Amino acid sequence: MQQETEKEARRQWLETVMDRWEATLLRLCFAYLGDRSLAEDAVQETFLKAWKGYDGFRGRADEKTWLTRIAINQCKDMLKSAWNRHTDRSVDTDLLPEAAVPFEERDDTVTRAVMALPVKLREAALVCLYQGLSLAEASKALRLPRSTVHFRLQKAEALLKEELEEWFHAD
Amino acid sequence: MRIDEKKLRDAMDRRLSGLDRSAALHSAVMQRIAKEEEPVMKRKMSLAVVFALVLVSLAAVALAATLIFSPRVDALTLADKALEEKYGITMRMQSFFDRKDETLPDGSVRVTYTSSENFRNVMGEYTALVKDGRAEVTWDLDGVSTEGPDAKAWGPEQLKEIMAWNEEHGTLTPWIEKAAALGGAVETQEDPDAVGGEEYGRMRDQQSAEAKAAAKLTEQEMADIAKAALVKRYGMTEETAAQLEYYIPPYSPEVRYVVENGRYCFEAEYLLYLDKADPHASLNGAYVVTVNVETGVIENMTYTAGYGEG
Repeated sequence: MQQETEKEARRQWLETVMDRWEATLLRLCFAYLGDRSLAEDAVQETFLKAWKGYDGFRGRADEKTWLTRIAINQCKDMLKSAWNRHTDRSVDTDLLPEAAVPFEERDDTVTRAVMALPVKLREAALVCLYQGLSLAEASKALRLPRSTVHFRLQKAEALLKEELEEWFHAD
Repeated sequence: MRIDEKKLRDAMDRRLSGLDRSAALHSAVMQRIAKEEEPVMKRKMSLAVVFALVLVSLAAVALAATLIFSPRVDALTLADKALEEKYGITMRMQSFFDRKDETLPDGSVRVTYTSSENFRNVMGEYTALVKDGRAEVTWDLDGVSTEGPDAKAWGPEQLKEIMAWNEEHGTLTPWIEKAAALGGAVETQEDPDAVGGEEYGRMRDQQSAEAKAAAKLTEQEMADIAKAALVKRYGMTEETAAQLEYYIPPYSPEVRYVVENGRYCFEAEYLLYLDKADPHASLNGAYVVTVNVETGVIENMTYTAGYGEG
């Protein structure tokens, strides 16, 4: 009986988490992988892993950081296997899905610019700039020392600046 | 020059707005979960296993009586207590900070609590100096007002508010944005001695293998020592301690063998999740106890509710 209650609580928790984060994670995975169906697979795996790791998550605070960590590592694994199949790791930005809300040309420009970054810089940019994780959180998510994440982020920003001068501001 | 993160985020969200929640994805996940939940045959526990479990729990009781905390842990405990007494930063609030310690030539210990980059400008850094069994704490934002909605420095009142908000919404993002809007963002300095990703991984794997090979205690023994240490250090009741869950990372569990200050150690992690209404719910979070694999001495203890380091 108690087992059933726990099972139900776990399911309800997942439903809430999916409602809250599905769109965010789908966009993150798409921007990383550049392929809608791969992104959907990655999100599906992310929620399944989150559900399996529910016991490990309980008691911790930031859901978003934890899910981003799982999603980004799922994407990394998927790219790795694509690489093993000698697939091109760069993203085809012509395959952007149709937007559901009106957008300006510069929204399109910045999205394409981020997605066109080399994969290591792209993941740093997506985790830190798009998902808003701190360097400490990003270093855990990407399993890299903070200094490496910081270095990659700076490089990513330098490349973006070439195309997006007006998006930068003085500190 | 930094990129405007909020502008970038909003722009990408608009452009990728066609990717939204879908019933198909939702149902695919739930179907896979239903499959995973299919019952597995349970085995009856043999008398020998029951006997072994009793022995293990008796051993844990004996261990609790002979716990040895390193002088470092004693110093950290004093520093943590002084931080709470002087500034009201509770154990749970300390999760916003990264704690580091250093033994100085005169034997005193300097403990720093540095807030994560996102909050560095408003939460600052606390420093505790521990000497002769006493700890003195200072804050680099001492003198900056923590009053009012636009306070430039955030003390326990704001931290409490952020924690309550996070409890409800599951993210810190609006607070990160608020901190950024207050200005004075702090640039993280690149560590010139930091090793790169792969090299770092190799070094860590090698240290883990060495630490594991040097172990004179079993993992179970070290996990028991760690649990007893938590009960003693955090004053947990028996009921609370019974709720502690021993956590084994699903990937590479051997990374828990580490080298800490030149000593081979094992990091035992416990998680606590009590109901919000439980009087001890403020103890909820993840605990890591670093146990010397050769002597069983507690070399370090950390706690996080996940606000700063995730």
